[in-house]
Amino acid sequence: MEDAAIIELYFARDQLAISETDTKYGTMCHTIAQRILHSAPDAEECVNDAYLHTWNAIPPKRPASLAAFVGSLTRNISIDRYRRSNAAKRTASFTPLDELAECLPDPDSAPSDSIAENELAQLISSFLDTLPQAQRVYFMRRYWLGEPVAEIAKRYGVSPNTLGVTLHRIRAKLKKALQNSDLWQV
Amino acid sequence: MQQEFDIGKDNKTDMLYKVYRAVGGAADRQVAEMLDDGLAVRLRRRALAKRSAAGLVCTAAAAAIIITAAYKLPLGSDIEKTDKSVYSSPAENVSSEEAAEQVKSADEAEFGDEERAEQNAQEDSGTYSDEQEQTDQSAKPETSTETDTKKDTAADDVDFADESSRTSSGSGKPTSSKGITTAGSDPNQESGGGPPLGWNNDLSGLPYGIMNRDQWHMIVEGYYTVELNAIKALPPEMTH
Repeated sequence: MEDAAIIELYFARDQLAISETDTKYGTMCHTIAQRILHSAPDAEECVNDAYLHTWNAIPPKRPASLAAFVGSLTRNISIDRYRRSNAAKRTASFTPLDELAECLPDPDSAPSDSIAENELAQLISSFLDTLPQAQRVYFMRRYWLGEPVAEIAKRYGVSPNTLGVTLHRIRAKLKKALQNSDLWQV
Repeated sequence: MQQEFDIGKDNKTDMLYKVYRAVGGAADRQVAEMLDDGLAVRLRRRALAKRSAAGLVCTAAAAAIIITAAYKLPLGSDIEKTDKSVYSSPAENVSSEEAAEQVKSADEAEFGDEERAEQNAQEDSGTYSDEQEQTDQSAKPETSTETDTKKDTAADDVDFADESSRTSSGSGKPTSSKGITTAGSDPNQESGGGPPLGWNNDLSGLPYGIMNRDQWHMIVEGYYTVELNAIKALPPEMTH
């Protein structure tokens, strides 16, 4: 079923919308949650939470891309659960998150509270637009989907080493972009 | 959900999770681009083509380096270690005839007929030793009537002739520089019959990186002439 049709089901408050969403994007959502949490039951729980949030958000929202909408919800719910578990030392480390720590400019230069998440998302989105298409896709696969480097390299026909170097350079550029942004120069 | 954000203790952790969540808020088109399988196929083809091209360039560069090295490096390691200027001077500056002439004049300048006869007699009797050779060489400058400069030049060139004449065995048969007996070669016979035995007629194995083929030929011919002249200078009883 097309995304537009599924969204119409949500607007019609038809519960078939959730099963259709699961049929089309269930695998992707489970994979995202599983990569972050390394636990099938936790991942299942996060995906169900994401469906519930989607049901509550549509309407009034009408997402342009249902995949991006459901995927982002799953990702955010999973990372919050990971954070709780990580604080209690109950989970394995999530490598993409550790890698992104390289991108952070001096955290003391800008208090976390002063930076709105949607502004940060806008900044990162603008930064991604400056990258070549291939690099943008690599970045998104790695840090949005949480896909392992070896899988990305295989999918796009590059060597893992080359991809690792490319991602490292992208992170360095992102760090520079964050440093130079107005958000960090408060 | 907001309560879940407040779990982090320090500013850095807060910021890290915020950045990670912000990546999740990327534009829809960027997510769609990432999930586009057609684009993945195109990017894969492009990457593979780039890798193939890079591989071809590397292979060509490696082949060029190997070929260049093969032409530039001499095959004989001894020749490579030899001072090029010293080694190439006979070929570059002296023709085969000139070299033969220099050797002949050096022989005449350094050895009188009497000395030569005495020396030959010593060789026949098999009593010639290395010590005597050294004594003879040290005595050479005193008997020479040439200038020092000429002596130095001649002494370098004389080594060829001395080696061939002094290492002759008691049987009277002269030997080449490699110690191979030149049996059957008549010293009275005119030269021009090709290189002496012991030399490989095929010069393809010589290191042409230092000298070209003509220069190598000149050296071989020059040595051959010098050797024949030295044999001719021997008394007839030594050559039969």
